[in-house]
Amino acid sequence: MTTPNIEKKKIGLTNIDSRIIWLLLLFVVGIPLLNPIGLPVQVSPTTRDFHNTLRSAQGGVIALALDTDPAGLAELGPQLTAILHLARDNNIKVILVGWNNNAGFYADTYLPKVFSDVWETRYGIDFVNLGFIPGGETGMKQFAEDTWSITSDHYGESISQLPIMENIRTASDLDYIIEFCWNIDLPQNIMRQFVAPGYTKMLAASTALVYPSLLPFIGPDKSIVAAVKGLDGAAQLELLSGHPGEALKGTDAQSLAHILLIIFIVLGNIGLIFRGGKR
Amino acid sequence: MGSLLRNNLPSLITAILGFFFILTYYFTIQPLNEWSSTLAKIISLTSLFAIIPGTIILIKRNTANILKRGNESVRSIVTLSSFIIFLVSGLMGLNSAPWKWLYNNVFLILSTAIFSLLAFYIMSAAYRTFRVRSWESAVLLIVGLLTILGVVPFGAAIWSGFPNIANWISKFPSTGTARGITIGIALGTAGVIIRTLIGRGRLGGFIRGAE
Amino acid sequence: MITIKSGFTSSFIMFIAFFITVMLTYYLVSKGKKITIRKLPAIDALDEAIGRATEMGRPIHVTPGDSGLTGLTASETVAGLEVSSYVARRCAEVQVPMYITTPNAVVHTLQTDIASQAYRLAGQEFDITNSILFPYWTSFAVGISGLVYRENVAANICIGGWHGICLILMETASRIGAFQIGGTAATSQLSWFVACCEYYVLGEEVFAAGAYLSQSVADVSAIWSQDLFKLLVIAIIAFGIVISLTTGSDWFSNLFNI
Repeated sequence: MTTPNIEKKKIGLTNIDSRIIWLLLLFVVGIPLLNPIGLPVQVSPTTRDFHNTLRSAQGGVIALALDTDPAGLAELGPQLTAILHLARDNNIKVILVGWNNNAGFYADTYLPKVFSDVWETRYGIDFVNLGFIPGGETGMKQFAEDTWSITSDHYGESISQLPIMENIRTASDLDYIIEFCWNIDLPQNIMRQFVAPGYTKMLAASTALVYPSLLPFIGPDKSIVAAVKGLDGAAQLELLSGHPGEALKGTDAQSLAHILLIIFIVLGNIGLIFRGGKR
Repeated sequence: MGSLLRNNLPSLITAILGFFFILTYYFTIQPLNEWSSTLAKIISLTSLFAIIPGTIILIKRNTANILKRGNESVRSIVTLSSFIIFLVSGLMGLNSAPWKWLYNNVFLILSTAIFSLLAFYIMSAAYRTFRVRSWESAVLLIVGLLTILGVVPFGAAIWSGFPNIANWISKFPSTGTARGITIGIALGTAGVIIRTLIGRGRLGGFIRGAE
Repeated sequence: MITIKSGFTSSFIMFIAFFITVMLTYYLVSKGKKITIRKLPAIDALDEAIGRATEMGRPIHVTPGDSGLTGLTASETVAGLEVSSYVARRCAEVQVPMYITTPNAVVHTLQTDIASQAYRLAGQEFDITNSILFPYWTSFAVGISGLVYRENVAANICIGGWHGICLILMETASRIGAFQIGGTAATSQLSWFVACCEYYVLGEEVFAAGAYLSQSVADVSAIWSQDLFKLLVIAIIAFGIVISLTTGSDWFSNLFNI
């Protein structure tokens, strides 16, 4: 095993050590998280579309497909909380399900944040955690054709004992399915198995990284009717729903991190200009 | 005969099932559509068996490292003991307190922490990449800066036009490029799938076991 | 009675057209038609990477990505395995140590087989402890970064299906001055490869990379069929734009909703 050869170069604007950049980022992100500044948050047209589309399902039933990996929860968790608040406030019943083996646990973590006061009385009536459905896209096809093919919820209760599922026999009985996606494969699976066969319409709650890949599919007459993007989308949803939470606290840190990024890019280019454009 | 079956039977099964699912996706053919639902349930269950080889390899490799008592043995002890702790708590029930505690306070936190490393690496990668060395990199820099300023609330505070420009960039050039790449990837994937169904190509060879 | 599902007719016609194109191109190439795949600098640079490792006396790290052999990214993983096979053969010839990693158990079995076969063909024995499985993608991300840093690899080759953590690996490899060749078809990850790699293959070039190396009838004919179909798609888009601009009517785009 040879020692890594990290060259000791003369430090200039063009070769600032990555560790200095990371340390500064740690401060810039950490301090606002501990002591929020309260920078203004503007609601974008895309988030407003998502909010209005979701509210149009008032009185209906939606499915939330929790297919994210735990790593995506930093952005998708606050989105999930905001969407659950919106659903509760607009009398929309929610079915939490997923084709990722963590889906049941996410639902178990996030449902109590919104429904803890009515858990005993309204579980199975206004909201339910169906948990993980194995089989990936094959499992999606199975669920879309027959939602009662999964015989019990995440806690082992028979599906026939859950009033919310009484009139939900196929995916066409759902108003929307909202896919929580942290990669591009999952929304395409939902499009193929739920949207293309005409069962139901789709909304997307995605991380900021994946959102550009979803853009070709988003539109009122396209596969994804509306989508919300990343932590800033979650913050905007929190503003619209009137339930401020983790996302609004995080946007300060995010904004300052972006500013720091711009500063470093400018410094790097200034250094390059002074060096005559050489590498 | 034995080797003929061994080499070609898996491809035959793949081809039959593949074409069966394609047909039932496009057509309504009773009772094939009902059979496809049942088959989908069976395939869902068989896909869980993929966990088994991974578990066996994990245990074998780390046990061997521990017995060797080399540099890797400490890491292997941590790996195996974590595996055993999670396995035992999982067997106590997925709604049990130990499992929930471990899941929420160890697994979720560690996974999120590793993903959050990306933020640091993005910062250093962007600092290195966004340099004006040529006209293409100048365009990349300008578009990148406009997009960042359009996303950040500060950008809207500096000039209200930044969010509109960022929106235009993501709606038109970015979406157009993504569409083109998506079409290319879809055709590439469809090509691999068709070659697998007819038993040709590298994936078909893997299934045949003939490579 | 057999009926086609509503809204699926145009999609089925496109599928049949593409299927016929794939079969026809396979037939023509197997009968001797010569198809040239243009030079891919990233693939030509593989030999440069291996040469660098030989001179420096440091190992090479190869990975076909963090995806498996199911789903949309299967084709990218297959291309990555094709590249791994080529690199394994060349490493065996010049006796450069090679580490090959993945988070997927099935891919791990395949890559171990591929590497062992490649080494056997060169009269060498592949050390199977160099084919490493990190069972979960987050452990894969930090595991390969640690491996690359500890072993001080001379080159990092990461062509395949990537979901999100390739930047962690590539930044670590950049810090130790490793020569990097990478590529993926995932649009969300492309920018990292451009930022970190000396050479890269983007989008459908990943599939062409597999064909460029293997030169097998199936792979080369597939690239040809994809290119033919892309020309057809471009013609349809262009025609649709002209129709829409001149007549202002949607009849052409509505054909694809049948």
